[in-house]
Amino acid sequence: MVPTTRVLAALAFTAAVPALVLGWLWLAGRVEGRLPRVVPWLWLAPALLPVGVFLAWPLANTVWLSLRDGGLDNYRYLATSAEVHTALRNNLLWLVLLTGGCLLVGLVVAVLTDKVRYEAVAKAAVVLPTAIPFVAGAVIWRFMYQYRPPGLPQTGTLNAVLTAAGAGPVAWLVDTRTNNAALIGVGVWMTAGFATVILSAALKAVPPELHEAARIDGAGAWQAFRHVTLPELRPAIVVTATLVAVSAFKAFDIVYVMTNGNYRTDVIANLMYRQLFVDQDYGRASAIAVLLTLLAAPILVVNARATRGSLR
Amino acid sequence: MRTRPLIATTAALLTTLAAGCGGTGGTTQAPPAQAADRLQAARDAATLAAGGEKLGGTLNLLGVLSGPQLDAYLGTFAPFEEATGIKIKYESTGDVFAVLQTRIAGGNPPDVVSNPSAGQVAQLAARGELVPLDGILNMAKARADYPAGLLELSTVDGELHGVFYNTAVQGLVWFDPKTYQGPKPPASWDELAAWAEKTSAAGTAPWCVGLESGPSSGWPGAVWIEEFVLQQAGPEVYTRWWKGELPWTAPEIRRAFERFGAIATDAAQVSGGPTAVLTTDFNSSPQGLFADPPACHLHVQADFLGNALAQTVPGVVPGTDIDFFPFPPVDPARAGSVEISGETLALLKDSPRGRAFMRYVATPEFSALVAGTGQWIAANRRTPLEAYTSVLSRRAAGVYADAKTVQYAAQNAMPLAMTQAFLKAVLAYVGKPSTLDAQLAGLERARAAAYKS
Repeated sequence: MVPTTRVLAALAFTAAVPALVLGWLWLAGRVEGRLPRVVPWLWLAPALLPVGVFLAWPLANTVWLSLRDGGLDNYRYLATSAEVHTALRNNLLWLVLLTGGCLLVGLVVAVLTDKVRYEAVAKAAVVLPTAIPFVAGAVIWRFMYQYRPPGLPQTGTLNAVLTAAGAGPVAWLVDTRTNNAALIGVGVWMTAGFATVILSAALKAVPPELHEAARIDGAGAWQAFRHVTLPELRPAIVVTATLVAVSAFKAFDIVYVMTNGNYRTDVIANLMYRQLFVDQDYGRASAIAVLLTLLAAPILVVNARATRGSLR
Repeated sequence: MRTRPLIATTAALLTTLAAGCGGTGGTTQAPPAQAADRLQAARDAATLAAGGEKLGGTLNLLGVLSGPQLDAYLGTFAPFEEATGIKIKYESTGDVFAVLQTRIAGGNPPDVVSNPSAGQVAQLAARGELVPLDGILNMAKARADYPAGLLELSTVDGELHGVFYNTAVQGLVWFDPKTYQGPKPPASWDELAAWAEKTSAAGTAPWCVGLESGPSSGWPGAVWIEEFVLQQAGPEVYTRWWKGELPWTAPEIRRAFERFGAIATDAAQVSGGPTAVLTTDFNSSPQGLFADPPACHLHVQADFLGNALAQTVPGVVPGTDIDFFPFPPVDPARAGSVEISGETLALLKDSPRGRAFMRYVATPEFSALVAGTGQWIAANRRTPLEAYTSVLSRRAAGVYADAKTVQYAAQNAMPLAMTQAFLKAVLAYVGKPSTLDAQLAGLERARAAAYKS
């Protein structure tokens, strides 16, 4: 049985919210004539308040924590620690390879399937993995990458193929030459569908007259793609690239499940998780969070600009 | 960390092992059933623990087990549930340390945690997150029933904060009696190493090692290193080491790493070489013992391995197809030094239910059920030997009881940050042995921060 107090609270809430909104509107109407400069802020307040409470305040608090627990030592740790440098290097790899890989796959699939009959099926094959949680995807790929010493039957799909072709098995996740690429490959598999959807939609919005005109002017297929399609897709590409780039900085699940950052595959988010939950070092964890925010900020600026541009 | 083996022994053993090895057909052994009179005695003990009241309600328990081991584990609480009407709700996670910290930070701790790291229990107790048990248990009895070393681990500010659910004797050397021709037991590490050298020269790698274990990968290697520290430098150095009073760069620690490395990084000594060591799941690594011809003859693992194999691999009979001897002393003067691990039950929220539960798990009637699962050794010293249903458990319990010195696994006694750094260093060292100096120096830097709190 639901307690009466909870029923009363629900009723009060249902009544209070419309009352609050109406009151706000009334207040704004009253103010409008007398204090015109205050009015925009009145309209913005309902949006600014949650942003302040849920975004600005935690951000400020994180900066404060990074300075309070350990002070500048936390930032000295960021500057001098080998594990931070490895993680930063790996995040750079993620940034370049994940973004590049997703755009490439997305663009190729979108263009190639654009005018074929089985477009839906072909795109579904690429988009389907985006429906799988990252952790589940990582577990699946652990089986794909499984390694057993030469001579034993290979249980991992990739190594089974390699050995069937006569090559030796590769310890994908342990070998430092392959492991970062192997992890990022899983990321591409799981994110490329997202890029495909956006780019494919943008492709369909390119006016056919442009292509017709280009053809009449004597452009070949490649020239039409290079000089008509690509420029038209540019805003969509920039938006997709920035969104994928931000997710590259946030990479966590795949690394956590597949290598836990061992064998030089650590990334910033994993480092933060360990400092926070295992080492319980709030200062260092906050300093890493600040660094992560600073790194992602420029990308978000580009994203915001591109979004505005495509709306125009 | 350690009992993580226990978790995954289940799922992984079932799939990987059953497929890859085993005897010639036959069936797996069913888990043993508890005797009716022991169950009744446990129910009576539970009623007494609850003060004769039918308390009802639920008790949330956070732990790391799953599969058949979880069934065995929960079976030991069934009499408590029947007698008190309290429902035990078990929540399983592979990442108990982080999950526990998060739940506490979020103001939503479980009632009880079953924690493989006594180090974390002590840390939480020092931060005041645990309910002291001195006012709940009969302390005179507890002090008589449990080894002082175990009680000391979770004693903070003079008050007890945890009761050991079980113990596992670590670092036992397992072999298949049908194929293993070496000394059993060897009088010293050198004797075993000499035999291993001969076997290696004849073309078979003597050892199978597997370090893969998800977020706690590396722990089996850490056990090896702990054994070497204990067996060559003795319990005093060992204790100073996990308490953070000995530098990681000390010669005793360095030598232990090197002894482990001499096996784990040498393809002539370990089946598949270092790459296999890093990539093989610790559950499937003993497969090599049963390959035809054997890929290796020796495997280091805790006491649960034999019974787990018997319950999951068709045709494997404890004693006939799988047997063990204790980790041999490097310095013969250290003979009889035994390393153990185990899960500590600790109370996070004070309630009549929680109090009844803690009283129940401290009774010998309860620990007799733990012994009866055929999975673990009970920590309570009043556990009757005949309560062990498996021949291997009984012998492991004998090793535990006869030990000259019993030491708790260093990796589970250290603060969490130190443990994590230790495990990562083990993996990095096996991956690239030339980095040993850098790894030890890194651990030494981590020590300063880890023991600060």
